[in-house]
Amino acid sequence: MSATVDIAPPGPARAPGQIAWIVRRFLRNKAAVAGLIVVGLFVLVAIFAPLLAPYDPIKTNWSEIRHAPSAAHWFGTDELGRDIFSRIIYGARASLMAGVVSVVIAFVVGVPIGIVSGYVGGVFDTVVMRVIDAFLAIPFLIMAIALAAFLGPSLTNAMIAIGISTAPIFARLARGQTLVVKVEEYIEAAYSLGVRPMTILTRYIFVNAFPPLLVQSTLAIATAIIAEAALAFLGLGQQPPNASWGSMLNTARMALSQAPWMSIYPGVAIFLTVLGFNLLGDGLHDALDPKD
Amino acid sequence: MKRLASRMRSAALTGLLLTALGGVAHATDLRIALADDPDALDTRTNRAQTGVTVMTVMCDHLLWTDSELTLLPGLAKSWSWSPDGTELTLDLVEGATFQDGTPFDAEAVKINIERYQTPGSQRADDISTIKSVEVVSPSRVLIKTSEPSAQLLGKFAERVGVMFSPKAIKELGDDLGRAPVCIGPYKFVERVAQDRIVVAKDPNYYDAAKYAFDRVIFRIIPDDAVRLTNLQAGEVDLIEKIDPSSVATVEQDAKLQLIPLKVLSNQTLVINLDHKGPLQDPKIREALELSLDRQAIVDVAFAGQYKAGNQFTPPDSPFYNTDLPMPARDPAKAKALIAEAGLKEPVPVTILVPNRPLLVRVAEMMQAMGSDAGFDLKLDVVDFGTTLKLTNEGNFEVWGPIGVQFANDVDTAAFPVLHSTGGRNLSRYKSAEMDKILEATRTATDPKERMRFFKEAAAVAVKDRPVIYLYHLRPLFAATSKLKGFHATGDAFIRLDGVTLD
Amino acid sequence: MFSFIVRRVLAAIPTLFIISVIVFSLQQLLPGDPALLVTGGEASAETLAQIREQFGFNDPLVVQYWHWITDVFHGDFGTSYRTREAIGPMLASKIPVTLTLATAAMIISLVIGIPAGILAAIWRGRGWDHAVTVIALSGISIPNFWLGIILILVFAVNLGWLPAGGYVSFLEDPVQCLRTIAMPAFVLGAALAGAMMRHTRSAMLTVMRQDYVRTARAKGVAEKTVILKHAFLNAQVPIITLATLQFGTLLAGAVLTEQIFSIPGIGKMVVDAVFNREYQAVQAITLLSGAAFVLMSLLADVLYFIANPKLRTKTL
Repeated sequence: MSATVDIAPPGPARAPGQIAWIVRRFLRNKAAVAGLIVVGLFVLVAIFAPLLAPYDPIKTNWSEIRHAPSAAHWFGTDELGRDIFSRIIYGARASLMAGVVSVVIAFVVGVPIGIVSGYVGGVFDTVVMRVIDAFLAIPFLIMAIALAAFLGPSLTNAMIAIGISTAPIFARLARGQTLVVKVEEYIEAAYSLGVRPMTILTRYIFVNAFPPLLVQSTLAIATAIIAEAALAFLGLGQQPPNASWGSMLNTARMALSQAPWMSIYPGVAIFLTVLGFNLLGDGLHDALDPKD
Repeated sequence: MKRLASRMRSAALTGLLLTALGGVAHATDLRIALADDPDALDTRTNRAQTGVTVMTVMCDHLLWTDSELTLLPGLAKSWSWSPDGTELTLDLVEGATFQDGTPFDAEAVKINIERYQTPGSQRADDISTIKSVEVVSPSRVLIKTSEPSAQLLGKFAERVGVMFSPKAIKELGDDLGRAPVCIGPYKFVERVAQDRIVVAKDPNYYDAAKYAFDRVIFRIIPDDAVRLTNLQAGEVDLIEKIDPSSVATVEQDAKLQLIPLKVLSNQTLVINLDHKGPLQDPKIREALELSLDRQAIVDVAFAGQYKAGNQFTPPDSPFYNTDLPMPARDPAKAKALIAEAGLKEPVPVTILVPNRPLLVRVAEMMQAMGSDAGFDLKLDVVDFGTTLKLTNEGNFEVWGPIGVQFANDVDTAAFPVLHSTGGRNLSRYKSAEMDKILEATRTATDPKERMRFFKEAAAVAVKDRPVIYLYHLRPLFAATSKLKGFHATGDAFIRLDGVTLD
Repeated sequence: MFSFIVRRVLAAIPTLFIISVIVFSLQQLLPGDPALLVTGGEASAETLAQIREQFGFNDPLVVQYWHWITDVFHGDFGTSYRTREAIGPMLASKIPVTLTLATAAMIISLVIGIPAGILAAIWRGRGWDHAVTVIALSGISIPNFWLGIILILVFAVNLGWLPAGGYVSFLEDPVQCLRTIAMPAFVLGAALAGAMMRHTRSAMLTVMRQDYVRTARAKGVAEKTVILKHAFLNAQVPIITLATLQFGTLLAGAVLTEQIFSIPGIGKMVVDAVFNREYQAVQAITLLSGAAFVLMSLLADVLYFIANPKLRTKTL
């Protein structure tokens, strides 16, 4: 990951030309642009859900239980006669929020730990890293399930559980970047000039460690969306009557042969969103890291 | 690469060698798919329904019940109460042996009943009125109770009626549930947790001729859809707990048969009367009941397969109080009652819902029904274990749908829930009137009189509404159409005498 | 070599200890009273107290941890208070199931991932390369529980070719075993195949830039030989490392896959255990999967070390 240093000029500021160059590189990558468009579309859907949804997503209609897709209900209706298309539109809110918020939690918890640990070094670093290693050794989903079960099922708690389970990855990445940047001449120069450690940490080290962390965040959002869907699928996420793609799949599974449309559309929505974030993250990685 | 691969291979092979062998189907096996992994196969500690399913196939009970809840002889050939209803005499079958060869006698009955009374037993509360068990002769026991206990016979037709070999009890202690030795047509062979339980015919069983199968293999397949697909594919012969919405699929398939059973059960909303809030006002409880359309719940969530009801027994039960029929949904009246109680709409109520798909579906329907009848119902969907903790601590407002899943006696459906000392009285309902009536049901050894008391109890429950009864389950089995002679106990557990596969 | 391994093993011990502490604390946080669950809410207060005492729920946490960890060292993971069965043997009977599934998934991912990755590297920047990238990312992006549902829908419900779930041991009935694990192994292998493609591609690209590959090519060695003999042989190391490390991912992935296909493996056991508040079973599985991961990284390190002479001189 030493490549970060190649593209980052000494000091906190990044030349405007440099950013334009990165943007150009990114835009040349068709898959990445496609990812950006997909993500952008879903963000718009989530924001304008009330305008786009043809029906109230929680309005039940007991005379239209499990109707197949039709002109009136594009994606059909579910076990309580609710419009699946409208539920998927509103579900975008839950999924995107889960993805973004849990990664923000992971970032806020993990990055400071990693930077401080890498910067301080010595025994402190060794101990912190041992703990991080231990956390990383426990399979992510098992950890998230146990945490979500402990916190009690709700969308908020699912986000916290996913955030905490993801934090060690950020800590480790931030530490690695810190170790690389720490030995750069300009840091030593700043240090000898008497710049306060806090300033060095935030203005120099963090800023330089940011690009790989950004890439990681984008990819982590993808993972977090799947994780939220998985928790909701197990009944540990978004609570009824509100819609989440994962919980829709959970109820759909019971009617697999009678109402396959209930399973198909929420899954496609998850897949497209996650693919969008993965393509975006991949593109960002390539644009920021010209080595490959 | 090679080394890694060979390592993986050998690891996988060792692993495979560890898996238990067995379960290759032959002609006279019966393969039953269960929905849950049973808990301990020891009726002293058991609580899961599937555990009882397995134990009922394996073990005789002191008494049996039929689908009308009539008591039938089992290991006890006959029984009689003393005139004051405090002494019960059981005459036992003779010449029977346990599956380990130990002879069955009155002493064994005494040992077993006393074992069900020891601390840590899940059955201790069921038989708390038993004072002593006396061996009169090798084939006769005398059970003395501290008070008239009409409900006891039903218990002997249930889990307390399962008798284990005294030798095995002595040798295995609390581990008995790992390899139970009782008296009955099928003895334990092996168990692979969450996968299967195999039992084989006991040739020494005194009534062995009535049983057609050499072995019964229980497979655990929790997913409703997967269970049904396995039946359709002929991988199993009989499955339990059909999702009501799949009933049509079974009925349309000529190779399958649907077997609906009758059982005494109810699903309710338990209202915590100690919880400070609107539901402490009886008017609001009535309004909540009036907001519900029970028939719609049964039709939508259970494809019309269950039975809507408003008392602890279903409307077609002889114990149902016909003077108090199920009220129709009346949102206008619900709103009027809310206004009368001086509350503002919407009245906020939180329902603690066990995290099971069908229950959540019912809760979502109630939520929708409440919203146009002056209520704002919030659902707190929590896994079952947590609901038990919260309700035990009194940390809830309404809990449900929940209730008695299977009972072979009305006592089980009423007393524990409604009596102020009842083990399942989570409403914290304390009514001197109700207590008096319920106690009267237990001293009434005349069935007619007992029935009259239960109808009175039902009327008080309807008036006070510590729980709101919603609907009554109907256990749905499905089997290959080759299966003949299927029948079950009154509490809907399979019995295999006379059952064949053509 | 030997001392390297010893040092790595020693370094793994504190990690394992910390894992055990995390795992233990995690369990204490789960709400719900196991004594209540075991009784189904039907028992009296005395019975509950009795059960709590019997299972040691009343002891201080440190004491509970001590009892637990010493038992673990004796190979005793406790007894399920639901079925009264010892957890150790129960786990032992599930490990082969999950291992069979994971191995099948690993094979599928290697068979799909490596050739696709090699081809993408050869045709770098061309259509196939882009296609591989998108396919690989798709594999990573498909929620495996959804893929499972769709496969069941198509192959079990509609076509009726494969059983919708369940598990048969390979020794009992090899054909049926393969039939039952075909779908779950594919579901589990799909995401891994995506990761494998990407890593194979980048490992191959790195190697193909090396001098000896260029030399071989300049010498006029056939392109096929260059790729397979020179490039791939050297690109193996990072690929093996990845494959080893992915075993942890497989284990986590097995949680949902086993749930959907009703496979009685470790993943299914952990979900059931969480919902039944089977503290000891969750502890055992989490500890075991953590330990397995540590072991796998150890293995990966050793493999990497053996295969990479440069590293050998550096660390010794």
